[in-house]
Amino acid sequence: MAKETAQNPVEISVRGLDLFYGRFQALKSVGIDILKNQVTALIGPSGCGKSTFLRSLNRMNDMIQGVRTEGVVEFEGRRILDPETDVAELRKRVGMVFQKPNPFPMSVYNNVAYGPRIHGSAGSKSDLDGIVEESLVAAALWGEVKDKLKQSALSLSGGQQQRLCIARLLAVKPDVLLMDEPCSALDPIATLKIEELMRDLKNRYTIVIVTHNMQQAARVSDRTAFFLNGELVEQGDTDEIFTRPKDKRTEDYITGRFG
Amino acid sequence: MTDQVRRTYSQELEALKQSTLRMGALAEELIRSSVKALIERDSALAARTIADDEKVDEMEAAINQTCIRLLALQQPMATDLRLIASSMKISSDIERLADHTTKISKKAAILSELPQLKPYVDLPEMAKRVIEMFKLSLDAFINLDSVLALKVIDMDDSIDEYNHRIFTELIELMKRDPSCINYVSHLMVVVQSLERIADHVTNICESTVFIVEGASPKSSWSARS
Amino acid sequence: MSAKSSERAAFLALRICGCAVAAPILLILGLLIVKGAPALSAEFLLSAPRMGLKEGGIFPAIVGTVILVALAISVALPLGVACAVYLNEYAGDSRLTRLIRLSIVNLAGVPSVVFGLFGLGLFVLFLKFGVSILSGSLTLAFLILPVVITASEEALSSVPKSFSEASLALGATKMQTILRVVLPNALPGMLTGAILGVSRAAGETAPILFTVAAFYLPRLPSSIFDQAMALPYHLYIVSTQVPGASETVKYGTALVLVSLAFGLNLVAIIARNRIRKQRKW
Repeated sequence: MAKETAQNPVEISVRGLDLFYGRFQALKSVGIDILKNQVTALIGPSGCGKSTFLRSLNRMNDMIQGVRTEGVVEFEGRRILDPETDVAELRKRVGMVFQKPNPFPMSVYNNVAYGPRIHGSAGSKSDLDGIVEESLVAAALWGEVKDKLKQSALSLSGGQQQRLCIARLLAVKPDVLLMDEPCSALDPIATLKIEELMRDLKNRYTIVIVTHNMQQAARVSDRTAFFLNGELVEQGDTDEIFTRPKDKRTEDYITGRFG
Repeated sequence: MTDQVRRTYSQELEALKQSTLRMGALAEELIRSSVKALIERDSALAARTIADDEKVDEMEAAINQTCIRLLALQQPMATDLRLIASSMKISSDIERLADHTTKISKKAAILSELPQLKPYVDLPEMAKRVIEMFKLSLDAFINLDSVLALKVIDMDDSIDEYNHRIFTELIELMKRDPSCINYVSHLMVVVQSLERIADHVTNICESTVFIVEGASPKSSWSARS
Repeated sequence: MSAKSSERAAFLALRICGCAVAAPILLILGLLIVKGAPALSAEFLLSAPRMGLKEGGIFPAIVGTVILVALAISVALPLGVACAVYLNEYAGDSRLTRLIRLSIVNLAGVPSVVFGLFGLGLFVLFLKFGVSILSGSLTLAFLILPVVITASEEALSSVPKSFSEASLALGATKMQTILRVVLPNALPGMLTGAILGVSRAAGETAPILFTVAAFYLPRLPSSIFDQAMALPYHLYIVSTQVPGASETVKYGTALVLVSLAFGLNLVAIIARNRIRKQRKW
């Protein structure tokens, strides 16, 4: 894996990112390169800024009043924090899966078709059918729902709902998948399914995942970044971070000696 | 390491180190008594030493059990993970090193039946050196002292020298007096066993360096240079 | 007195209070049904009044009320929903939005007769709509606007934030998110608010007094600039201004009016319960 890391190009480059909620500084000069076709895990205690950081990669923090950012986040050569950035276009490329599965209260089909419909990316009904099937297959859900496409998405189990949310995201054809604790509301088996899915997906997408579950970070990610009090303390190959972290604070956190 | 969160876990890790140390202390005693049985031609002591090896085996099994349990239940990471994985290796090294004391004791029993060829000169010195190395390796492990561990690894060269010298001497003896071939060949096994024990001690020190540095000595030097 | 018996006494007192609240509504309904039910007939409901309101039916008044209410709601609903969307989705917490919210609360507290005078001043005289269905329904629209806005805002804020987050994270614009995700899920709640507004508008007399109501117009209105009869006003007239009008006509009119309002409330309640059952989030 270490060799792969050296070869993978940078997908998102972050330099000197500061983020303030009013007077509170939630991120302090964060710098990291997110590598293409890799799973990058963000770990750290609650309130360390890892979710905030994730949400600044597709500007979801814009929705919160009083947020101010400084620094540079570069995606495909564009500085996405600039005010003139087309945020909708950015989010189409850098999509997000949330902590709690949040399918729309509509049918399975319409959930997946939502993105292509707003973006007008399907020319015809059969195009749309194709995108829906393809996305559900990619999210490892097609077999379970192919006979239930007209059923309400809310009738699916929690794990299925989360995979549906992933399918809904894939239908938009993004490059980067941001996942904010995607398994925290799921049971262990559903969690393992999502993790397996992530390993498949990284061949085509770049994935950034926030997780409270260190074993999960260890299992699914290629690279790990440890946040503490808004600072990016340490980043590196996952096997390095979990077997021989360099920083004492990382060591204390991952061995569970924190507080 | 100040520890407020995982107190029980920390205590278990400490207990693991202590039982590894106790196992080491017992093995050290076995080396001592097997060599003593040889030098003093004490076949009863040799028999006791052989019997005591079983205790070492039991201790190794217990340590393995503890390690497996900690791995399964506590999902250890970083230093903890290296400590547990290395403890399994170290206890295995101690167990195999103790097996060599059985071998020495058996030879001691046989040799005590044969007429003595000549008084031992280098062999007790070599044994003393091996025991010292082993003690230091346990100190290095319990204090997670990689500097000391590396020193002990360097001490292995002197054991090789002893080994070489005693072998040359024994071969000379056999050339001069073929009637002593039987006696000497038994003695050669003893020397070889002592040399093997020193090798296991070196392994233990390498494990200690791995726990502390996150890499075994050789690869860590190449990574750093 | 032991703790147990004082507990029992308190419980009894509370129960009496509870029943006392139900008593007036039951008495009103009972009275209306006993005295008004005999008046109900096809002729009463479907023909115009005759003999100086002493005889005949209330058909023009029913039609007038329905038209007024329908127009009022078709003005108040879009305006109210738009206002609620603005307040809930776009406007942050600023001095302007606080002012708007304060206005809505106060609008709800304005006595209905003041609305009537306002309608007279603005629509009838200033805008020269005259005493007409247009003036009357616009006045009613303003009357029910606070109800519609409040219900719509509540319906909008009951749509989980996670839905709009999901939509935005898929690259939808705010407008697309509101139109495709937020509004469809808030619609049922908004309709409930609208129906409650309608039932309020149907029963009001004061706002239509100066703006639309005709004392006696035994034909159906021909345009929105026409006057019209309306049930509440008709009831007021036959009860106070027409000596010798029969009891059954008065009570029959009252019964129809109350049934209309109750019926609408009932529809609102059933609709709300249905939605609650369907809602799974």
